[in-house]
Amino acid sequence: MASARAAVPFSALILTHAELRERLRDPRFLLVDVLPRDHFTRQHIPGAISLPYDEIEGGIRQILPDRARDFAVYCAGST
Amino acid sequence: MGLLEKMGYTHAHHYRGGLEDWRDRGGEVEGREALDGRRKRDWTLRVLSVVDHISFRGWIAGWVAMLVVCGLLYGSGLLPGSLAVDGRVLRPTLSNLGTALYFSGVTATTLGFGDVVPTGALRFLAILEAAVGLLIFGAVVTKLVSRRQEQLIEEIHDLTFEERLGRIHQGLHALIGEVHSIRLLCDQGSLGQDRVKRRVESAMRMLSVELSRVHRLLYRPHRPVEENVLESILASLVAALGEFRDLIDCAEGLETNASHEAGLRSIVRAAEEICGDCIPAPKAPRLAHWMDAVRQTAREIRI
Repeated sequence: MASARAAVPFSALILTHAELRERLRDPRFLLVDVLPRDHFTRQHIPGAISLPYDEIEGGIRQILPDRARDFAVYCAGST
Repeated sequence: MGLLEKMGYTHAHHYRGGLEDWRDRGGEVEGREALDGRRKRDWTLRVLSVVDHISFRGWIAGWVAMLVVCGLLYGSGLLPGSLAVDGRVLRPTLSNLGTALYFSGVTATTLGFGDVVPTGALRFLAILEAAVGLLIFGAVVTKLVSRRQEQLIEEIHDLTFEERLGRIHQGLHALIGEVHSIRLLCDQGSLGQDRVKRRVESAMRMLSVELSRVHRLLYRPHRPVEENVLESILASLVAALGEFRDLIDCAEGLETNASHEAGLRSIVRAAEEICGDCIPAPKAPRLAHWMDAVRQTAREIRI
């Protein structure tokens, strides 16, 4: 069956372009780019940090020890 | 996204559009490629945008202004040099102003009859005027052409969008048929055969692909989609998911491997994201009903 739902309703977790811009005004807001590292070097959204998808499990704890903190994730696009 | 959730990150927001959407909406990007790209494209695009920005009237007015200003400069004696007709120098008088303006017009249109000629520094002003005149003509023609080009591009976008909708429809119908025939095989008990298993796997992948296409259509449409078209696509999706659910039901007893399970999970996850209340724009209640049906049917798939 479908996985158990998180505490926050899923609908609130999707960011539109405008909302992301708004969030990015805060310099402490974390934006994670999950694309491969060489792709990140070539192009990324200003302010994002690189954490390639296969390194998420290993690296996310260091970047984000606080699991309840707001942050955003993006990839190439169109899900 | 599901991964982060599983690890306990409850506040991980997802910017669905990703880099594609960011760039489409004019966002800046950083990185090696971005700088190179920007440097290479810069000045030509800037020139084109200036040409577009100034209206036709603006360009014509600018040309006329240049003509008058240069005419005054030719005929006023402010600059070193003068105009000459038949070897005789024209004095900067009011009655000669007409000839000066005439000369300016002949120069600005690059006609250059040669009945009136400049001397001294005015020669260089004449060359400059002719060059700018040519550029202005070019700019006006460019504006006309780019306007037509933009129209054509819009038409092409419309067409390809229609085609895309059609492809989604066809894909879903093919999928419904395929899954149905696999299920018939299952009823006959031949699901164990390798070649049938391969069909199941390919059907799973096709379903995933169609789900993501519909998802993109809902969340990032390049054009507004008519609601009844959207509704029929969603209805087909529900039918496809329903057939798939029945297939999985029938296949209960059979051995599954990890990749099968992962595939099923990703289908259910993708369907979860098509829900009635997580759409960015308000839609008709009928659509919300179908979107919820998508989610509901997916939930019924037993993993």
